[in-house]
Amino acid sequence: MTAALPTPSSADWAINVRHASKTYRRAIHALRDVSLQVAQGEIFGLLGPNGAGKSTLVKILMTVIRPTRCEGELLGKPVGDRPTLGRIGYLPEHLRFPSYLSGLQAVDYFGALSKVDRAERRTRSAQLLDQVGMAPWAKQPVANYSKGMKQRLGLAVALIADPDLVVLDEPTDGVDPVGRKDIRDVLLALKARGKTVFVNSHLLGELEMVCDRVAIMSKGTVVRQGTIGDLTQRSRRYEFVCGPLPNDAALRDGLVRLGASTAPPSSNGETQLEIGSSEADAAQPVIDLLRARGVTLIAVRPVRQSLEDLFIETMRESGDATPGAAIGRSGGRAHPDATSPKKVS
Amino acid sequence: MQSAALLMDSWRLLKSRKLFWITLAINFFVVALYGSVGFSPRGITILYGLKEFEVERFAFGLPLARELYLSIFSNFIVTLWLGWIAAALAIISTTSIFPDFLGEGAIDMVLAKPISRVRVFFVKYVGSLLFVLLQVATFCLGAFLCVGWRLNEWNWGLFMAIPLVVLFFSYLYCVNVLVGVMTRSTIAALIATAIFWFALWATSAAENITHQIAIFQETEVAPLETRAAELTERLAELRADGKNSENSNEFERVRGELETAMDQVVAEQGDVDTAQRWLLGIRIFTTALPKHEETINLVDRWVGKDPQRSLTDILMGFGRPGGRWSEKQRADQETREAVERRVDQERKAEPAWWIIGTSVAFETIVLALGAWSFYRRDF
Repeated sequence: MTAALPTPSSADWAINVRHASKTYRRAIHALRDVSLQVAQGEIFGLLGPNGAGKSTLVKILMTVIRPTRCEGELLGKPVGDRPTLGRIGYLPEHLRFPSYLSGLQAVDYFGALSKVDRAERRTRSAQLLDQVGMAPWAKQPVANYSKGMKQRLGLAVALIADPDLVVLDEPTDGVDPVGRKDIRDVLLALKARGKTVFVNSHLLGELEMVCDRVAIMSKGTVVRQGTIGDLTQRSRRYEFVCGPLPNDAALRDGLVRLGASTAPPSSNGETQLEIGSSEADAAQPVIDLLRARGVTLIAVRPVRQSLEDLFIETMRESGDATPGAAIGRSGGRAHPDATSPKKVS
Repeated sequence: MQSAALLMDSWRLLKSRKLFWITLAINFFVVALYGSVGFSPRGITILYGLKEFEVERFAFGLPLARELYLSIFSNFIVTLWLGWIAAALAIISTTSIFPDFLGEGAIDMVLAKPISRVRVFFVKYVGSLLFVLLQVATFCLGAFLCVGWRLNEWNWGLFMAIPLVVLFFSYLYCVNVLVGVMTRSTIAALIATAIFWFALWATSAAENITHQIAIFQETEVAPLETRAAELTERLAELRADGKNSENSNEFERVRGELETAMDQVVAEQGDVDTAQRWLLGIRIFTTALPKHEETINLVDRWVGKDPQRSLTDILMGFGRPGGRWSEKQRADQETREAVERRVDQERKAEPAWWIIGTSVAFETIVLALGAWSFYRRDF
């Protein structure tokens, strides 16, 4: 773990897991001594390639899997405390509803299992189905739903008990772009209401847009954890796009002196430069130099490494660049401050 | 609230199964057939009076007519329809409940709720029994109305078939659930249940046959013992009369016959002992198993008819050996019937608490294993 954790008191952690381990048949280590903290009221993203142990960790938290070892608390109660599960909404991966239920019946059924009283279920079911855009199909059998519709329904089911903590395992799996936007809006609305959201997803662009903090898992361990800003701090820099650079030795010397590197001109004649600082003050001398030498400035922007690039870099560092590390790119690079840097010389 | 939700879910599941409605439709058909049999002052009517058989002893109001009608219910319909066909349909229809319930993405949603796994397991199990409960309840209500109409008697004992048939089904279903939980495979659960059912039937048949052999051997040895006793007595008389000299032909003949008879008694008694040992061994084994046939047969005791009188006994008048039978054939047939009747009587004399108690003990152990497996398992 490289990033500093936020420092609320332990009572303020929504999730505070220590030494979580899961070994199958004394040989297969799905989780190795994972420790993870999620503060109340934040949206936390869990990343990792297939087989990294993300779903195992989520299932341990939700008591679907028994850990080999696990200490810690969920919402201030020991992990596995059954009454506490009533305060947690859960959307599992590969969600499968009983096909004979309608959407409304499914929400009502799981609401009853969460001990939500009947009147409240009735009110909240309709509200939630409307919120996730499923109201028109509420009375249709789930068997007729598309995968995206089932995911939306799953989100409604996860929220029926008005939980303090929402755990979502691949919530946007199979959901179209409009649906993903709707789900993001729901997550942000939850955060605005002070709820904690724990998201496990392959869609890094999605996470980047909503998460306050992320953890990256590899081979059953957490290899990085922190805010996206912290984790990408070292990659922050300024990027300049300008017209063709004149064959001017003083200009080139000046750029080298200011620490600016240049990439070969693109086919349209534009040249790209960058400096390894995210401070605006550091960019000013470069701008002055370029303008003094009559170079046309097209764009100046601060950039940082995207979550996707951070993820891939982390996987390479941890030696987990397996085919299973393939990640979804939908929605990637949407962050205005998160463009992938081109190779510069 | 949570248990009610699980049961409601089971009800919705059943409603979605075509086989549930098909079985219910067949139920109505069987009840309609049962109701089509009636009694007139001259005998039996079928097809709602379209055809009449003049058999005086089954005339309306006579005790035998009542015995016949209740026997059709308990010995034929409950045993054949509910005890075999409907039970098989129920097994087929309910086998997938647990494997489907335990599928990835389905069970996660339930286990992540504030409800204990053990409670989920048992409520789901009870919910699955609803299939049979509803079918049998519907059937018994129909049969109750038929009996009321045909015999002018409101026989509440018919409703005892509901718990008994559900209990009988649960003996099979608990094995189905255990295998379903352990393997999460519908096919494996179905095959295991079929094998278990066959094994129950086979052990029951083996016990029945061994019992018959033992009783038959006893009936064989009894006349030999009588004969040996007579010969011993005769020999004593000859001695008393002073005719026991070696030259007495009579004495030698009786002594020879006695020796032969005693040898036969010893040989037959050996066979009896062997049969009894086998019977004891089989009984020790079957004690640990559920008594599926005996449980169904308890219906016979509680519908208010003579439990020792089977449907065959009542209809005997139609099927007695006729004039074409020789004396030996008639005697053999009577011996066979006597043996079967005695076996039947002895089995029916077993106390209900023993039948149900040992069966429920088996079911409890199997369900405990299933619950333990469900409780410990990672999904």
